Amino acid sequence: MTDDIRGLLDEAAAPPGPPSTVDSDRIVEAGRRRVRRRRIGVTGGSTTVAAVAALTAAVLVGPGSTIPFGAAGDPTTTDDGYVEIGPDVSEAPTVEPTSPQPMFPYPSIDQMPDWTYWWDIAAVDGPTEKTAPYTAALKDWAANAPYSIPTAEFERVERIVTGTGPNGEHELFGEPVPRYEAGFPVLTGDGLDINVTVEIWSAESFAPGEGTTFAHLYTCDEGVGDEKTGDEKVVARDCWYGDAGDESTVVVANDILGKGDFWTVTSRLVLYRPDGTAVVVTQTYPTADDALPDPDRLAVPVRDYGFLSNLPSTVVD
Amino acid sequence: MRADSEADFRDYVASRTDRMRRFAYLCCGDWHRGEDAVQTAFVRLYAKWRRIDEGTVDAYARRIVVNILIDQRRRRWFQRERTVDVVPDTVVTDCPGDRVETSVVVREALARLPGRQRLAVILRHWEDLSVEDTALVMRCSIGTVKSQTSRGLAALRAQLAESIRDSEGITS
Repeated sequence: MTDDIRGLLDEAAAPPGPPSTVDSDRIVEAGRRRVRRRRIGVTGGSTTVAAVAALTAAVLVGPGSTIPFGAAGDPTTTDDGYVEIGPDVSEAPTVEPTSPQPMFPYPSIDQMPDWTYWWDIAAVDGPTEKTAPYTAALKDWAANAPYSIPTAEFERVERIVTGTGPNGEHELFGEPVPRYEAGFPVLTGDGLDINVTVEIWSAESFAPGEGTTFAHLYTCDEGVGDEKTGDEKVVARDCWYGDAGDESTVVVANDILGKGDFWTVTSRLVLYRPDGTAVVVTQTYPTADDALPDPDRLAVPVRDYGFLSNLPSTVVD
Repeated sequence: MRADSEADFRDYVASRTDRMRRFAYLCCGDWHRGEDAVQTAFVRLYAKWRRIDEGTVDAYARRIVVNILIDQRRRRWFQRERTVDVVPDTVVTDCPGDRVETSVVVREALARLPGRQRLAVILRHWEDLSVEDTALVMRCSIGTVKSQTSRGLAALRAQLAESIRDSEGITS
């Protein structure tokens, strides 16, 4: 079978295609320009920024309607000990912008194996006139939530992709992109202490799913939840799509990270909105159980999205 | 970049261009998109050339190509479709009939696979990478490589079988 497949693939990829236009002179010339631009960029952006890990914890807990998600399936164990949960993912739906939003291009990054990358904070503007409607929606939701949720405000934050090399090298990629962010703890009353962040991403500032620290926006197909992170690793992943109505689409992913008896459960929900922006809700909580958490339990909070459906859709800039 | 290092880079580009083009083509099903991705990948590779181990340069180059193709697809999500007045010409090849048909069927079957499954199948069964090296390119666990490859092969097999049945139905 292996040889059959190889032969078929070989045939599918066999010439004739159009003649190659790859030219090493042009590549070298373009490469030199790229290196020069990088040097200028690094020098110009060296007034940096506190090292705040951008893997924000977050979620979605609250009353309200439930997205008609597919149910998580039974966990299965692969022959090398990984546990997989959930049904096969379907194709990602297409979303087209329905209203103009300012675009903030996301930088293209080729991550080096020994480097660490994250969304660093470039500036915090605090609450603004444009974040106020989001804060109002958050307060309405918190007032009716069955859990204890402290008052939290959305702030305008500019983030920039930052890389750090093994020898202390430091590099910034692209321009800062604005987001509206709020973070708060949720105490469920049954001992589950959940960290929650809600982020409103500006249009076109999306990560293509590279690396754990860029895991906020992605499709199931491009998922990054299997990344090894230090001495932890994702041991289970569940990802599926939902239809949130109003032409919005949703990606939900639950990752269990851990090693030994200590596990961290991270659930993310990405709501791709028709205007090109996206809402990312992430929840993280630890579990000291010696067994994997109940998949139904870890999936429940992100399914309850009454808050999300009531978020405003103001211009994010 | 020093002259000897640049000469090594040029040698690498010359020796790997054809293979990378075919790899990109299998991944995206479009020679022009694939070629653009390879060209861009080599430019980015140039900027990192001195810092990459010789043993991992292929994996790194493949990963750049994959990232570029994923990036392109993501950007298309938020772009409106453009309509044209004239339907583009169909590509005419000079392959013998059976070969064209088989390659078209395989390409169509590949195109219907979810992206991760398609990538896993190509890396494992065309590039002949180990599970570990495939995981490196795909940035995922070994378990995921195994499961995605297994599902991809099963889906590919089913689609090819269906195509064969359809063609037999037409000819009989």
